[in-house]
Amino acid sequence: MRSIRLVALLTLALVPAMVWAVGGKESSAAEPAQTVIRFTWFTDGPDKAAIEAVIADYMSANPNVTVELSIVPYAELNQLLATQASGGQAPDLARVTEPYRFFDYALDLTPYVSPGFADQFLKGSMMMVRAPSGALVGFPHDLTMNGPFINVSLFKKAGIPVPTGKVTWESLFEAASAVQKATGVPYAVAADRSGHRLDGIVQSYGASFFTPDGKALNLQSANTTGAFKYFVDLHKQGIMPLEIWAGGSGYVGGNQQFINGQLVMYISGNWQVAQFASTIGDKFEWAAIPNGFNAQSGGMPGGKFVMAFKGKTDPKEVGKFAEYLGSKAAVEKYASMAMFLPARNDLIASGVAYPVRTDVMNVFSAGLAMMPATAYSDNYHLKFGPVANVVRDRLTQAIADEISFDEAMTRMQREAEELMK
Amino acid sequence: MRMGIRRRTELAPYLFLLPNLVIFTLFIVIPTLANFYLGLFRTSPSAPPQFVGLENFRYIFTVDDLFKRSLSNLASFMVFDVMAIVVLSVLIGVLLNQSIRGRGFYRSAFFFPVMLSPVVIALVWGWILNNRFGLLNAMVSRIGLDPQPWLLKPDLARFWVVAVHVWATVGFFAIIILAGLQSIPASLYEAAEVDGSTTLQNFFYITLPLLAPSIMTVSLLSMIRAFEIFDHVYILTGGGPGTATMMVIQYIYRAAFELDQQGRASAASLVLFVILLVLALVQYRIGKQKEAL
Repeated sequence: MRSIRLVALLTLALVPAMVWAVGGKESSAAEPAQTVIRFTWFTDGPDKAAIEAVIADYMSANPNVTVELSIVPYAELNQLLATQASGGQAPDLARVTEPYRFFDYALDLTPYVSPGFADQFLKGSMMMVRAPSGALVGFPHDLTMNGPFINVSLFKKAGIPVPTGKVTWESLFEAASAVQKATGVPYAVAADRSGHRLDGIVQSYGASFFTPDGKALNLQSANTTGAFKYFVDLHKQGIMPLEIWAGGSGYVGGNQQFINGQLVMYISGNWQVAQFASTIGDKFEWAAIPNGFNAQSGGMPGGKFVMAFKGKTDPKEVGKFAEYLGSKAAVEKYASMAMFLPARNDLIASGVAYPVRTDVMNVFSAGLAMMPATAYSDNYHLKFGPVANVVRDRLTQAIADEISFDEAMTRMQREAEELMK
Repeated sequence: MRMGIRRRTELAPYLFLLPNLVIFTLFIVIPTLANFYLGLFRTSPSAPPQFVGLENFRYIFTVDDLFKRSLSNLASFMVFDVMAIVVLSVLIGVLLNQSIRGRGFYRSAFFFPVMLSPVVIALVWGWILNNRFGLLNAMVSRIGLDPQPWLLKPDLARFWVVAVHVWATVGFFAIIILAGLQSIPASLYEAAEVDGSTTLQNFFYITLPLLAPSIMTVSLLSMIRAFEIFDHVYILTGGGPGTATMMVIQYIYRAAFELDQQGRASAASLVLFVILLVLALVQYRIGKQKEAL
């Protein structure tokens, strides 16, 4: 009796173990191990749906991979990533604007992507994702380009022709000013309060924030100083309103004034196109025109990068997903849906069909090819962000009549030199 | 046995204090020490921190005009803000202490802005003061005067920064004054009345002297709050026009997050910490003296 009980107990104990063993074997044969890729993203608006669609395509083609997209505000992105990375909790991939901030935590994608992967993207932009060690830490995902928008309806109402071709900034601003006077709208020209947007204007005068080799500041050169002076004078003459540059701190945009039809010319960039298309609708006619052309074309590139971080996820899977995100099909779909410019050479050459305002997007695309080399060297300089903020803040002091222009230039140089150390 | 109970009784208060002490150490003491340590380094996102000793302190005190500018802006803001708060809170407190109709309503009305978020207050006032589409300029135009760029001229912007902050916070201080007023014995006024004292004499010789401790509390608290000012100003003027209303906390924010100079920002925040510490100690000493009385 006792032995029967013992056998029964042993059998009962063994049943769950056998079920687990058999079941485990069956499930491992039927479903390969699931890989989770954590992807941090900040959104400019229309790109959220676009990146979600691109990810959905990847997950349906790769059922063993789950991509967890985490959307964070841009204002908190760098701080969040720095905190996560230093704590060993970085995501596998992230959309960033300044990859150099995270080089210490980056995954070298070289062994995990195809040999020619890096050559498919714009050379200038690729500089940003090459760590000093030579490691390939990501790729340029989407590009932006600065440029002016105009309210065509106001030009028509004023009976003033829209400037076309290679036109100086002076001519553009005179035309906008004439339209403002003729139509009675409050604003002639506004540029976003941003050193980046300012650099896009002054590039046309042969000016730049840094020397082309990036080794020194170029703020005191005659071209740069002259262009800055002209920008300050535009505010003193009332061509540019004080509200944008003197009326705030950090970034201040003029998009609301443009959307409301109160602004003749708005210097911003192609990232506004989707928003303008949906918000302005049929209220008035608007377009983009080429950047001013003085000594050369103006304009500044900008862009976002997808960057890989070291982590616990299989780097082969991370590399495979990164290569997919940078593929022609994925970039084309994303750029078209989100209204961004592609950073792939083949798509820049062939163009992208956008759902709305392809004409406007083509103006920006055409501008990419005309941008001076210093626009790239400025934008991709490691110190560009802080130096651009110093330029912005010191010129604001001159615009607000707090200090003279010469004093503003002296203080700008002193503070920027400190940042270069 | 009795010794054991006594020891446990002695330990009990420390055990109750322990959770708070741990949180205070983790979130106040350690970050303060770390901040001091960071203030000794030059930081950059593209290079490892470099030890520079007291260089950041030398830079902000001797080279950087914006730190001095933000300190002087803060000092002038504080003087006008505290003066206005003290005068108005006494005035409002005295008025709210009178037997008037709708006293409860007025007390609530003056306290209401205190409950609003500084962001909401700054956004609403920003709209009121907008030079092109603002309510104030619409009213000014209606009575035949020229619209003014209220937030785009340095002196006007400074005035409005103080005015909006006073409007937002004076209700809180008026309640402190009101509490002080209600603790003054009515018998003093009755005795003065018997002696033929006027209302004005009552105010200057009874109310004001006995209100002194409350006024001192209001002064110190409003001074500390003035030193911490950030959100009202940042949203209303962004520190502008130019740097006319840039305060120390905005300087710290700019250094840390716009210029990537965390070391410099830490040095500046330590200076602010020392100033606030001195003010807090003064307040503590005065509180102790009040207790002794």
